[in-house]
Amino acid sequence: MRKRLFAIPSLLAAGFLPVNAHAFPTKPTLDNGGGKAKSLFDIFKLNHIYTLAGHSSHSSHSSHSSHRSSTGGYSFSSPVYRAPTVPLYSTPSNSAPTYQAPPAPEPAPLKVLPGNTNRFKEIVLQVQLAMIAFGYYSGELNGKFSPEMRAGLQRLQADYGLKVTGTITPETLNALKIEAR
Amino acid sequence: MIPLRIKIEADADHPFVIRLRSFEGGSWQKRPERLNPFDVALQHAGPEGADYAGEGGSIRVFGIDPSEVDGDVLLVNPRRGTADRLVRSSSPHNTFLVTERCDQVCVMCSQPPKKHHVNLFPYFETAALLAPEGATIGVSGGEPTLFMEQLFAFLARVLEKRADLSFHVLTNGQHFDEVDRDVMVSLDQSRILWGVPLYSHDPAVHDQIVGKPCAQERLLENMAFLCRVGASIELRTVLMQPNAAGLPRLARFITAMLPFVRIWAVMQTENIGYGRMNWKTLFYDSSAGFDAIGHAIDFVRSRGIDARLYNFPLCTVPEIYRHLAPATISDWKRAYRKECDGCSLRTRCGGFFEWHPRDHGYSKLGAVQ
Amino acid sequence: MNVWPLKFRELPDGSMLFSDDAGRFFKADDGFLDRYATDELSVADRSFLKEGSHSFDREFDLPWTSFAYRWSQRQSRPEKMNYVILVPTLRCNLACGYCQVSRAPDSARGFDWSDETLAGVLLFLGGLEGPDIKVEFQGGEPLLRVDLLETVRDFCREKFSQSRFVVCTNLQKLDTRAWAFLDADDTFISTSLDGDRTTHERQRTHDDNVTDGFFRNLEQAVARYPKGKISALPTVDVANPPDFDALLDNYERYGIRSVYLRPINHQGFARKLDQGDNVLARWNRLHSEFIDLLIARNHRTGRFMEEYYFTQCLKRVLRFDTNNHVDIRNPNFFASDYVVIDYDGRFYPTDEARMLSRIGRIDLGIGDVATGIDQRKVEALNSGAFNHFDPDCIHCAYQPFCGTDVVDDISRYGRIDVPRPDTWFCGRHLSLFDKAFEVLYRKDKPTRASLAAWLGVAAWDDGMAPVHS
Repeated sequence: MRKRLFAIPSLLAAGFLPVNAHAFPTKPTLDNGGGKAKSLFDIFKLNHIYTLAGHSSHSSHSSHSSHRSSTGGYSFSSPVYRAPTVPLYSTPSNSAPTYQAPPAPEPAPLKVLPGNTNRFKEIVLQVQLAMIAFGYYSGELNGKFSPEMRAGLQRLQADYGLKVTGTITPETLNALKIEAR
Repeated sequence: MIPLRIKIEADADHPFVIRLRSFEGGSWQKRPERLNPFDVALQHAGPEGADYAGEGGSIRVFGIDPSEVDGDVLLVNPRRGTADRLVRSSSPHNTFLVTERCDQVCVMCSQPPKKHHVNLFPYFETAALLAPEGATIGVSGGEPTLFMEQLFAFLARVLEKRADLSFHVLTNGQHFDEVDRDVMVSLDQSRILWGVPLYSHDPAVHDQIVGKPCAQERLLENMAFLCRVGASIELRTVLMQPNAAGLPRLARFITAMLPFVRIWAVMQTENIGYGRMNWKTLFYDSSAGFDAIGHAIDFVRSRGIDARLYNFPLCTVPEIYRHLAPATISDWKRAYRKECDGCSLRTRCGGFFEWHPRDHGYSKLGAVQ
Repeated sequence: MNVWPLKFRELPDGSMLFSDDAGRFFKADDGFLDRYATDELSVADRSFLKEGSHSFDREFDLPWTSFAYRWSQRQSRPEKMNYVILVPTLRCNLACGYCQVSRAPDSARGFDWSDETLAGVLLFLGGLEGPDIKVEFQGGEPLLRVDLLETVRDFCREKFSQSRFVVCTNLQKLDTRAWAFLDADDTFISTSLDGDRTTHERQRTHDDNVTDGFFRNLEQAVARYPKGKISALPTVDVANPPDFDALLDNYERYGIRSVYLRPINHQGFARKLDQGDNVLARWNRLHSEFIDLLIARNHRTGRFMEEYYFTQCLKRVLRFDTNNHVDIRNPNFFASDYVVIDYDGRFYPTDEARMLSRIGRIDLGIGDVATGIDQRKVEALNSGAFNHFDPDCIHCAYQPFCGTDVVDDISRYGRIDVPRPDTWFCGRHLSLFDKAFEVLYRKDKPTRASLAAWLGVAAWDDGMAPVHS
């Protein structure tokens, strides 16, 4: 770039002082010495953006801010969580189901939106329609399950020779000619 | 009301945590190759109950349709035949009740304290790790910080393993101490919101409300501590007859002494627990007089401190303040009334508490055109 | 009890304003001042000071912590860079009388970004952290090179998850391509609207047809775009100001509620104009009258408009978190969150700095896109960019709310170490804050209604502005 002549030849001439790395006042710290400790100024200026507002993907921006008072409670006398040593084998039977807790928990975020999505509701509605057509259901067309609907579904599956689960299986949808998508 | 406790059948001796998965209706395409050890998948559903099975075994659930509990994390008490829905995957309002013990006796307490304590932290930790992505988990009681060490360990471990989660911890702020400084500074405070109540600038009024002498003095010392460790604070003030008139003065106090709070939440009372017992002397009918509240809110906001109205039905709030009243009543205890029919604000109003009384409640309420 | 040092100032109406370094303030009388100065505070004084968080007992106690927090919040901290002002061309299709830029004529050559410069700009943008960015296109008239604007915008949209674009345009000539560019949701318009039509024509367009062209385009833009997309600024000649009522009517007519009143900047072309004596005093009076007029008008119409910078000053006083407006913050570090890139690829700390260099006053360039930002020079500039130790500022009651503008100082005086009270910046802000406090303490309904609207609260009333009696 061509050298230009300026009315004020340099910053020094304008009154700027020679640079000294940290001209800004030292910040008060939480402890004396330590050095590695974050200064109070640093902590105050972290200025956390109210991150929680952004978090709930299922709700409007501020409904996370529940007043959250408790009116519940669990009833437990004296549980002691003991990790099992040997997993027990349990033969399937008609008696009460058995359960053996696994050891150390690992993070496993639930990423898939659960059953009450719009798509699920549509499918339930279509199943309800089909069930009404063939006389397996006489309740509301609301896209929601009920005990009656489960019972009806079981009867339908039995009649159609499908595995009787009472749940909307791929085979059930095929039989009713409903696309899962 | 949405049930938080359900009937189950499981053959086991000790409580355990599971996550219910239903892959029906098309979502089987998303079913993973191998289920998480804590997941149980829906096998069979009928009018009498639903069967789930997973790595650890099987369980039968009653009284609620599997489609309503898909993704829920349960704490199962097999001996009693019940399970608590610790995390409802479809709800933003999930709170872990970590203890029923408390060292205060607030006059409007919705969860009156009990001496009995059961350590459920290990279960809560497991449950938190299974929560939906990005969830905010409430931690409440009683007073959670009565078990400070376990609480810190819980928070630290979960925040480390699940960087997407955040916490909303309700505490009376009585038990922090300088020795907690290092732990607090090491926690990612941007993921924790500490909900701390302050009822009045006047120590006598505050102490009387919380039923503990010198509580306010202790609280204010600890507020300074919380500020210095970078904690995000939601200051909570339940609005009641004893402190309503003092709200403007409290507002001034907040701007002078507590400018570091992220938000000030003025909250209406709940007609349950001690709140119900003391309703007639506590409930402040804000539908009949809002001036003190409005002035207090305006004052802090003029100084740049955020403020909100929690648990106020929109029809009881003057129009100019309605934008500060989000829908905060937890879904499981929220209800609308006959008077709400045809209200133009219904979709964004949080409604009333399920147990808000017919009489002795708001004198002015009803559909807004 | 330890009282934080109080600074005081006698206001034009004779009352006394006190403030501390963290920005809390109150009014009191001479009696209090005497007692404070002679260290003979009364019990009532102590109680008042304690309640107002002007004192503390022990280090780290709640009042101490609150003060430290508020003080810290008021300090503007260097942020990552997320705001870039780009000047893709110096050419302009208008010749405004006060043009600061020493613009080049429409048909000139050599005043646009070369291909290398464009590549350098994109390289620079690519190196920014993100995730957000705001790009402001200036000039000249940026729409003369809408192709360059498109390239930059496409690049930013790709690279950053949140981008926002502002085109500072004279709205004289828009072809289909320009309209298409402006149509995007992430793109905003900033233009000049100098009051009523007569003033606008006298100062900017000079010709009936040209003026028509501008207003036609402005109307079309207003009809086409949602509220909030278009903002405008009036540039006011203190020697020949527009009719303010007409100005406000005009702004309202075009859906713009926020008016940022700016005096003609005496750089560039404007320096040649003779503005007469005592410009500062006249400007201050003009601005003060504008605020009063605004308050009356707001009350009359029930529709609230604001003077943008005055509202900023009110917020600087009341709040401790209004510390990032580039025109008023302290410290006002350069090249931290924003920077200017000129038509030739040179970096400048501010737009005014670019102009000063352009007109040969002083070289405030801080590098170029080929070689990067010159940090040493930035540091040198930054060494003067705060008021904490200025011998006059430390005694000023408005210090916590105020800032610095070293570029303006150089522009007017050639030096940055002129005694503060002798500078335009100081004189301007003393007047602004005097007015701010006057307004804050007024009791009449119209003022309070405007205050409430400007501050975003439902009502402003007694007790909002503290008094110690």
